[in-house]
Amino acid sequence: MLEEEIWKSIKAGSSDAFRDIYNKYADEMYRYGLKLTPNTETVEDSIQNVFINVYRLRNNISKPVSLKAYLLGALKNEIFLNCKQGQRRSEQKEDYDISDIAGKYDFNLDLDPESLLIASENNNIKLDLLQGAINKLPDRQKEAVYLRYYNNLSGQEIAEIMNINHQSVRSTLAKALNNLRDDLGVSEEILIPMLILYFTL
Amino acid sequence: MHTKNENIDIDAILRDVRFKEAHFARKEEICIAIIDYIEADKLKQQTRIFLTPKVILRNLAAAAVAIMIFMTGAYWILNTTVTTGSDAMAIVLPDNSDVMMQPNTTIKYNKLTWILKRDLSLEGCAEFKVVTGNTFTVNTALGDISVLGTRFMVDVNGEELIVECYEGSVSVRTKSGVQILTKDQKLHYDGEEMVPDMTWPEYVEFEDATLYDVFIKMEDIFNVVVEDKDKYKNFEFSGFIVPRDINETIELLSMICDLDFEYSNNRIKVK
Repeated sequence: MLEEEIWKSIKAGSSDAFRDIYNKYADEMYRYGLKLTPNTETVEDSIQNVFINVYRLRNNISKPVSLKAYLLGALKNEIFLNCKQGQRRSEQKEDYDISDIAGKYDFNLDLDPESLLIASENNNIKLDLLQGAINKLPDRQKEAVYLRYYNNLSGQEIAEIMNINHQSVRSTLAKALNNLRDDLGVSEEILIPMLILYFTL
Repeated sequence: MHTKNENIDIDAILRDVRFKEAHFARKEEICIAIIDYIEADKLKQQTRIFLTPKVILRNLAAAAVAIMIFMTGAYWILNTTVTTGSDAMAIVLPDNSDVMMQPNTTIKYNKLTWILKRDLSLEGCAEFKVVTGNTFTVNTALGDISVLGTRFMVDVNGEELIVECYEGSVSVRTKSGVQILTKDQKLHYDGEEMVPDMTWPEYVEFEDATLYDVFIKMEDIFNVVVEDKDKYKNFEFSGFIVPRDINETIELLSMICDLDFEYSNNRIKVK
């Protein structure tokens, strides 16, 4: 079904349409959510809230450029909101601003220890290098690389999710690739497929 | 600081590395929760539809229209027209008032609106004996005659309206004004002026009246003055007088009441 038709069904409040888009994007949302916070409960609650909010506000939402980008962006906001509320509850602090958290989040891109063990038999050093190089990237560069090479999103879609303009996305990606290239000493042709597998966490 | 190293075995890395996919264990459970929420909300919306002021107003409007259609239908069904041919006919109205319709007379009324308003239209001539109740109105082309409970006659033919009151009082309203008729009074209306009809009947009857009432009537009919008539307020009288002849009337009273009268210069004196 075309996105146009899916959006019409969402607007109409069709349960089937919501089930379809949920089944299509929930896994990617879950994985992306776990990059923003390690708390699975927060990610699960946030995914549920995103779909319920889309249903509740469907008549006021204009059709997004990309449904997937819209859902990922909405999930990011929802997770930040949940974290903010969690912090407020724990610290009894009333004057939190979402930007306090949005600007400080950690984009977690740790390798699976099991895969590290397997890989270490042959290329432990190189994988460690890759891990180290990625760890050195600023969070926003990690996020941009992840969205571009793992989720195959366009610059415009990444811009929507990260709430920055298209030019900034290109600039962030260029800086990230330069940093990795410098740290690993590999060419871009090798680096990019490597990244794609790396981010399949 | 690393230098660019083209000898790094990227292919080997890609072969060896196995990445664990983050498994969304509660995926189905959350899907069910979302769909349940949507279905419950839809049900709530449907319930709300029945309770919104807009819907209530719409239903009330529909009910009002239905009632109007029903009432209009009932009005037309309950419209009643009675027309006589060459013979007179007696009819009884819904409030049990009697009407004696003369030949070539038409009466129209509605049984539905009659409950609220005793109102009928008349073409021709009819005598009404109205039971006591709210205002009873006879509408004619030339004027309306209203009573509460009395006996009267209405004759409307062409350009002339004649109303005669037999009992009680009758109000006649035309373009030229309002006239009240009491017992035995009559008026003509030709479309311009209401003229009292001085033509008295052949006999004016009294039953359980007093002689004083008779003297008042005589003053009215014969345009005379009866002296000391107040003395006869307790003098009971049942009988009749003859409007066409004052001498015959005096003679009749003398005989019935065993009294002597003196009549001269439009004055009557009881001896």
